[in-house]
Amino acid sequence: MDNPPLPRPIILSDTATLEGRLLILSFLFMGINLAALAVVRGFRISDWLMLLVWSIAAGGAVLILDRYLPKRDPLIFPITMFLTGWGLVMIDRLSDGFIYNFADRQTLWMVFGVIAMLVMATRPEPLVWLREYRYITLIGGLLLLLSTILFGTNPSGFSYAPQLWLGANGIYFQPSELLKIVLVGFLASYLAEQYPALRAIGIQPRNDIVMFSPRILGPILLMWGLCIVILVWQRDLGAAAIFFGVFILLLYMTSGQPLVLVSGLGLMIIAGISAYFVFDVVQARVDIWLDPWSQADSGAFQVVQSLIAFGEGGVFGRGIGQGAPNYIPVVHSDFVFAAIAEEYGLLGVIAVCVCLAVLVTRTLKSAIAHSSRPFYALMVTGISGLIALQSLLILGGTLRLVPLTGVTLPFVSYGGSSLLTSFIMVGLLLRLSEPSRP
Amino acid sequence: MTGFTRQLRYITLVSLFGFMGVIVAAGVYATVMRGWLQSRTDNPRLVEAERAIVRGSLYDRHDTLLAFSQLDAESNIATREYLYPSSYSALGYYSYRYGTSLIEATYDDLLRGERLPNTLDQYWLNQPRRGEDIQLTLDLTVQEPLAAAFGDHHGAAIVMTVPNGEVLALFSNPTYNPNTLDANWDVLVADEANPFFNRALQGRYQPGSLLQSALLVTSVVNGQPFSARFPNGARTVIQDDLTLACLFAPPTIEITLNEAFIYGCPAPFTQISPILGAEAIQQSFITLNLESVVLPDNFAEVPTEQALTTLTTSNLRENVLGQGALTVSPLSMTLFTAAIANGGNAPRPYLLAGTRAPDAPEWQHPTRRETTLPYMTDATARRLSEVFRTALQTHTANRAEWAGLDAGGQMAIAYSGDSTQVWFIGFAVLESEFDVVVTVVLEDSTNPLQAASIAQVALRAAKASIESDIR
Repeated sequence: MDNPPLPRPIILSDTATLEGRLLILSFLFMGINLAALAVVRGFRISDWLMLLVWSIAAGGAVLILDRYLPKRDPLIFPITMFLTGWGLVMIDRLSDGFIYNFADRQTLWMVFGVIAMLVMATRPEPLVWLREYRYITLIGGLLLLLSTILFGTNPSGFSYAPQLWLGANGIYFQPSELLKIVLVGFLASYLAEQYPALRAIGIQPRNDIVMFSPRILGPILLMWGLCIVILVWQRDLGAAAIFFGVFILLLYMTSGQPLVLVSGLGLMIIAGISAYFVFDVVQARVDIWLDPWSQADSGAFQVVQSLIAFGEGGVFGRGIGQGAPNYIPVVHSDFVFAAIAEEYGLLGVIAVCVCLAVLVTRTLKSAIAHSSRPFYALMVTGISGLIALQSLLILGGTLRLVPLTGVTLPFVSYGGSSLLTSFIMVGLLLRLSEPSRP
Repeated sequence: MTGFTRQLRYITLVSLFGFMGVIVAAGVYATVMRGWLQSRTDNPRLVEAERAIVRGSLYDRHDTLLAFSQLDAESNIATREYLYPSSYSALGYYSYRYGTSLIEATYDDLLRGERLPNTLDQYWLNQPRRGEDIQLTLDLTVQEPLAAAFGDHHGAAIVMTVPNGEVLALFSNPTYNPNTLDANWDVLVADEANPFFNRALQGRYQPGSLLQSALLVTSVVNGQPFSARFPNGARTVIQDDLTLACLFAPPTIEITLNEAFIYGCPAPFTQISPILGAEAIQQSFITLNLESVVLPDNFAEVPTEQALTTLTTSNLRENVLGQGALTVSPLSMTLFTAAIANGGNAPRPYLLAGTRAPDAPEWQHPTRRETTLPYMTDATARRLSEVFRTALQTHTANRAEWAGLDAGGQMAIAYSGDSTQVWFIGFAVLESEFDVVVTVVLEDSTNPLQAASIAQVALRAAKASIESDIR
């Protein structure tokens, strides 16, 4: 009688092996932190279930990715999961005192995010759609934006808060998050098509006056107008700044003209100054940025408490669960970085920054690899720019380097839409990081 | 470099600079500006840390728990509880909102544990600091009957041992309940009786005829015999709109200086003071620290320092009658009495008997400087001591309440505006190496026997406590 065939052993690629090791380190990091948290506030089964879900998601994703993208960048996914895991631990820790645990929701969003990431990474269609049907996707995105303007709400229920969400009954989605990807896809597709022409004409000297060709100037003004609409209608300073910043970045890449960056920066400053005098919310944020100390008990309370958290944390931090970051309003979302600073100290701050910097650097490296394929290079740069710009805006806002914009820290902050979108972007980055793809 | 390579490298570089800038900024806040940020008054963590401190407990000399703090695990807020109303006025208060006073203020650093090194759980888990327990020299078995004897009377009392200066009781009335301080603060502050004013330590009163004992000391020092006779010594003395008479009626109109003291007659002292001279009396009062601020240990509740009263021939009369600008505190009179009971030297009063770190089994007793304050010679002290005994026996011989007490004392009355206060200073000799002195001052009273009665209760309680310790 023949012996039954032995199950085929799973042979992991070198990439997966490295990813696995890094994910084990992340697992240990989370485990140690949850154990430390248990010492401080007692054992909670939900903490460990969260770790279990994270482990299954990470392990399962590595296996699937290894099957479809064996030569992907080995750092992107582990860094993403590390930051997400750290974010889950922090959100769990910061949920003390709230009616429900934000970490449970965030864990669920992480699962959706990982699934979406796998779809983006393993399927070629999304990139094809973004390239081939750019106008349809853009119109779809703008309709979403329009619906937010018309029907937008805020989960907090406060009428004075920006109405950036769609949804009801506890389930909300922020369309501007998804719009980021749509916009990057559109711009990458459009600019890739215009790339030869843009590089050829660039800046036209006419009558001894250096000025842009309409081919460059037109899209700049169009995009600037779109961002102003977002700012006017939605009072979403963060989204407007990110959209315009990424657009300028991609236009600079395509045209190769540093003047694009300068003029873009000039337009941003003009828009910012105008907005300061027109919109109360912008004026308040700029005033707080310039002098938070005189409003420490009122408008600048959040920022001042954030800075105090950095001081409290010092170099080594107070330890997980042992600081008091909950004094910062909305700490689990906008100010999770300050919470990390208080409980992990400067070392935690450096760790977060290094992770994000490595993520951005690795993805830009894969953009260089796609240098001869403009769409992919611009797509990677756009996504990478989104992550970098959004991170720097919120990190800088938390530290009073720039006015506060209220965007989330990618992967770490609480926010389902943000996490889902971030994972979608990582999926695209993973696919584009494999030289043989897409 | 082809295509986008150059631009991508620039973008990478700018991104890295951005993240580097974030790290540098965070580093500045976490190191250079750390102290400033942490100590900001709008840092709620300061409040949280302060409210979580488990202050050490306060015990009396027999290890009876007087006050303790308890941490509520849910809110992480420690609450302070004071157990005996009789000790409220001695212990003072601890309130997060209003600070500390009296003993709570004096030993605040000990009670907050600031002398202790951080324990492992405090260091690693940021657990609230725990303070040291403090054993006080106060004796609840003295404080309780003293407070009961005081009843609703306003005034103050101090009981102290000699020669070592342990403050056994420290009482001031009216007082407040430190357990409900925060809730009643506004009412207490507005209270005209001023319950926050610790009369025993901060109070300054007209001494009235209490100064007669100081004048006796001055007489001895200046060679004036106690036996000097005053033909009309029992007469009344008129000072401004006051008519001052003998406290107790003497058997004859002609009395000696000794008898004038025993019966509290003012006239002989007004007659002898010009003979002694303003300068000599002034010097004597300075030596006797009548107006000095002498506090137990480094007591936090510092009374208002006031300039010494300058005695001149024009104001001498009113001041030797104790009705002038010169005022004394119960504590200074306690030390004066202690000097009489202790061969002329007053001990330095103290309240801190021992400290104990959290979970430590034994009390640590601080080493004390055994210094005393010289007031008078041993011979003078002995003479005063005899006069005190005679005075007490003369007026209280038929009072059964003093039976069994080898004691001496002086009663006095003083007029202060529309009110009067009565004094008793005295001592009791115990069957031990220690004696006890007491000062009682009652406001709005004209009966010095009331003060004597309260003092008797305190002395008897102290005697019982100390003698039982020895047994």
